[in-house]
Amino acid sequence: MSLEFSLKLTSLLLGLAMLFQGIENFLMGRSPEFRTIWNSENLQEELIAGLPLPKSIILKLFSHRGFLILALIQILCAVAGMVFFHWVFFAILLVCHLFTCIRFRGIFNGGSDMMTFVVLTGVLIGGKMGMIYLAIHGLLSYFKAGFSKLRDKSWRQGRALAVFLGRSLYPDIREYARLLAQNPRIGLFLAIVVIAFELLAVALPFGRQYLNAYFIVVVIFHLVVYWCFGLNRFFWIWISAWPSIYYTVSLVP
Amino acid sequence: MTFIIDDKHTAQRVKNLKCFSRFQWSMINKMKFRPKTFLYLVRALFPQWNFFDRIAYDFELDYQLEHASWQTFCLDQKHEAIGLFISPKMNLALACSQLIEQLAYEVQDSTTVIHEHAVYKMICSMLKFHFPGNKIQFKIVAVDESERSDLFLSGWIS
Repeated sequence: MSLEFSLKLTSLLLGLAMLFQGIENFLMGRSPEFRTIWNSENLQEELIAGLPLPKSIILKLFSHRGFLILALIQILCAVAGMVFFHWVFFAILLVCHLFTCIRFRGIFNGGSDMMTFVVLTGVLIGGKMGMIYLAIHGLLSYFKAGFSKLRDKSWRQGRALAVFLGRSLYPDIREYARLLAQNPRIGLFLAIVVIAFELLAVALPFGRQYLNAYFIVVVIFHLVVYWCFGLNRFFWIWISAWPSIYYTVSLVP
Repeated sequence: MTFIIDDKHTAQRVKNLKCFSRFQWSMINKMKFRPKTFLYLVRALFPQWNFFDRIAYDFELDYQLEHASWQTFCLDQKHEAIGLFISPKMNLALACSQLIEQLAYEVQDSTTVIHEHAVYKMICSMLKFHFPGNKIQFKIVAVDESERSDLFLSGWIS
């Protein structure tokens, strides 16, 4: 994959991910539940303590209206970024995403927020360096997750998967967790598959011929994670890191 | 070519700069800025990739209305057809479940009065939203594979 194509494809996929996130933020911002819980009365003390800005600016930035405007700016910049591929739109998206995370007391959607920053940074750095930076983080994210699991006893014993599935907000997935808990051998098999899949990510630069097959498994893996835990943002933002992985792997002789 | 150093103007500039930095510092003090809170609010900028790595306690939010028994607060969701693309309900539910977890951690770590924490106020708002007009009490329960233990019990909220 050429550098130009991988940069454009990354920008396109990032724009798409940020567009979906922006629409979600806008719809959430209009929900009465969100407006009741994340209101400025609850948040202002912490925001004033955490941001070196005057109170009046903080209250305006983190008002409900401010959140909706931020979501609209994100939607517009995501579309503009996909059309024009100009770095300014991605810089604005980075600011929008930072303010969104701060509004949710640092993190809204866990790892997907972090990966959004990583992909945005990679696109903003641009060129070869940006793509390599993004690819390293992309591959490291799988490997580190696998390595942490390998070190944990409950994963090695095959119990962990059933426990995590049992914490899903989907009742039907919790049913599967009960079945899995009753069949520890299946749990162990699936745990080995997950750990092996994640650890193998670092071997990809040395096994270019397996890249397409691994990518297919990645798509299935993220779809399963979405289906089990509702983490739709993880799917889009991790997929957007993949053009950089394809490019970086192609650089290895 | 010679440069004329105007001492009077230079001294004035230095004085202005000092005044400006003193003003900035006093503004920051007035704003009660705490760097630790700042780092907490921008922690998404520092990536960590340890997903589902260990089984820690799961935290549940139990509540009771006046003259009623304890129940677990339910955040259950249904799969949606376009959920892979846009899923505001699920993401809001995930954010709410994260609030419960954050309160559990802050209850254990904090040295200050928990009622003043933003997350406590947000949990109260969440319960008031779902049970308007009711007197309500809640507790955070730590759930392990084998045991359940109460971590925090609130007063009555109305």
